[in-house]
Amino acid sequence: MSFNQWINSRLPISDFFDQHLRQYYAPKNLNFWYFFGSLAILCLSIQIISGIWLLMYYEPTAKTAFDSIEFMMREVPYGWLLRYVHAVGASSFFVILYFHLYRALMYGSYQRPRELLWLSGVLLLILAMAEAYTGYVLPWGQMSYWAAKVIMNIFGAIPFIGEPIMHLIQGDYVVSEVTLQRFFAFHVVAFPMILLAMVFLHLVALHTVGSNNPDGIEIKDNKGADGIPKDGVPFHPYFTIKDLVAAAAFLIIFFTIVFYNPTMDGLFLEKENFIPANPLVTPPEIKPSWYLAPYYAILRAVPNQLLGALAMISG
Amino acid sequence: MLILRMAMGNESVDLKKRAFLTRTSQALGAIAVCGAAIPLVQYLKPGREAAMSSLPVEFDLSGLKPGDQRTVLWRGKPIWVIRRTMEQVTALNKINPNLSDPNSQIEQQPEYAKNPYRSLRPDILVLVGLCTHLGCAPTFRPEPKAIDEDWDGGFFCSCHGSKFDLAGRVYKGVPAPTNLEVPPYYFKNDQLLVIGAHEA
Amino acid sequence: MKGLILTVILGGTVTYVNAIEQSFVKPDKAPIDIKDRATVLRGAVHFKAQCLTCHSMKYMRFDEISQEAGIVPKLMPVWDEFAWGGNPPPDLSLVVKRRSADWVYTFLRSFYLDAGHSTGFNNLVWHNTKMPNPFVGIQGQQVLMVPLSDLQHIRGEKRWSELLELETQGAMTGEQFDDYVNDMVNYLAYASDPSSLEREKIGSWVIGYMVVLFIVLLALSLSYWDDIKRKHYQSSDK
Repeated sequence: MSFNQWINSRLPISDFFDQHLRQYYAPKNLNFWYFFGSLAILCLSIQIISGIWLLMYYEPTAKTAFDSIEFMMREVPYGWLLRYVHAVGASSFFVILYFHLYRALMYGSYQRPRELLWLSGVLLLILAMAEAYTGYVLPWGQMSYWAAKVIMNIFGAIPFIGEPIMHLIQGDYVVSEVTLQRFFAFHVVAFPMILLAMVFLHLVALHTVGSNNPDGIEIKDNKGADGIPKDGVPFHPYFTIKDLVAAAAFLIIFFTIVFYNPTMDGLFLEKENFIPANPLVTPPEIKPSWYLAPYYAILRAVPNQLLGALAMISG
Repeated sequence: MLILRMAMGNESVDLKKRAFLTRTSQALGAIAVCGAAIPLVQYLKPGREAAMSSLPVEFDLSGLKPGDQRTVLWRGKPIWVIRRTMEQVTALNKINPNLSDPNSQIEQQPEYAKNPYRSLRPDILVLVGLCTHLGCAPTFRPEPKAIDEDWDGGFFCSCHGSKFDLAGRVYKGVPAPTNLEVPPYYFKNDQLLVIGAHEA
Repeated sequence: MKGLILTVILGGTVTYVNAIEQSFVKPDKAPIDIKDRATVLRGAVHFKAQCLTCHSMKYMRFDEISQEAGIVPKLMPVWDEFAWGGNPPPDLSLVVKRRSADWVYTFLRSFYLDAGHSTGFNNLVWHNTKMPNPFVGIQGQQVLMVPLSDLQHIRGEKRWSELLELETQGAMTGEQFDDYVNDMVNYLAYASDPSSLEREKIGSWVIGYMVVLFIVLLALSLSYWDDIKRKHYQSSDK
């Protein structure tokens, strides 16, 4: 006990834990739609850990990127597992983010007082897309290369400054090894750091305004004599255990995909991406990863390149 | 506290069952975390390619004349193969008083190389070519008086001045603490040396 | 939400349009089983004999089955991009992952005589393929039973065997040849993802364990939430 006190008076770990878990009250009527926030954190952790491990063998050059991944998957113990976990993890992350976003829309969690919670969430989604897009380029397969090219052309469609901006991002007049290497820097260092900082802000905002709930009742408006919301339930242990159940259920599905169908029949890892990038041969059909497909569909639906890009961004 | 309060007000909450379930899930969770660590730790091990490159290597002695030195790579380490002349072999025990471990008491060689020549055959010397001080690569200086007045041929590490004789034995008063390492090896036949394995 | 609906719709409707490589037939189902080590090894031996002269297998460097069959890095051909008139034979390590086992199985058996094509043979799965027919000796010579111009109209409706006829019998019977090709495809399927054997073995343990963990956690969760329910009833009683 005294050891805990000694620590806590210098570094208030247990105070922090009490304040944000034991004495943080969440509405007791939260349903399963509220699992996806904590699942997103789980997914992000899986991505960060598996990503660090992948980095140990990945080589970000046009000549060796593809080979280094195949080498990892075949010659390194459990290399295939880490790689599939990272690839399936990326898609799962978006499944969860889209459910999380749907929940927020359905129960009006973007309304007062949660406007900034919503806005930081939207920013997180955009960041996650940038992270996924730069990551998708790294294996340097055919689809990596051509999807990178298509998305770069979207920047090129901005009037007057489009082309210089495109050249600035890709660092060359075409998508090339230079692009691969800067995308590597973005994917591995820059975006994850911003992403983690944004997650922190998102959680700070959440713990300030509190969780919304399906009935839309503000639990803080109805407090008992002890200052505790009458309809609130301490987050720990009630919601931590509930979230753990959700995490276990999620991992059952997640591992079923990882172990039995890691490419998800070409949805998570496209067939075309099993040939190394070739700037001279365009694949028969270029399609970005499924989680970016809706935006890409909007882009293609509008014949004018610039208008299409605008529609995509507003969509 | 809250749990306790509610439990006291309501005796039918089965706290024993809950405590059991808590302990079970903690144990299962701990096992799951250990299980997840297995691939992460295994991944760090040398891969199949590294295991292949650590297989024994063969070396053909027929081109090696007396006094010659060759370097072979085994497990990423330089391995020296030297054919000593008869004079060099007989001169080995002359300098014993200047050496810190002339009889190879410290485990730096397989049992079969724990002899005055530190080798299976007196003429062929096989050594790991890394200084036992900080892992620099010493140079082969067989010519007498090349380093100083007492020099009788051997290996000199230019990093920190460690000196070894022509059996890889370390001199007294130099930074290197032990004799040079002898790797496992055997002769498949008269002309074929196998480095990296003991004779089966 | 909008994104989700669109995704679902798109996921279902995106079809694989292939402008360069035309296929005229429905692929057969390849009866492969990569768990059957004997057939994989047999396929590897066939691969060494028939394919390795032109095609490499560069990601199978230290694979045990490949080594046993003699498929080793130093025997693998290396082509530059200008070889074979700019169409060097591709590496086949990932061919099944990129196409499918069924595609390869059908492709390898559906060569037919076509004097108009540079190699003397054409293919129903990949029209105008640059790959010469490797199996004239063992399969025999096949000829097209319909006019070449009709192929465009029947695309994807028939199987290859309905369109081709064996003109001269090769060294193998039809059944032997199917098994021969199937073994080869089995090896190619194995080579595309050697982890799948290990994967499925570990998978059942991991998933089984997670199910147990899920049940225990669910029981624990229900036990805790019992508190909340009782409290709720209590307050509504008052």
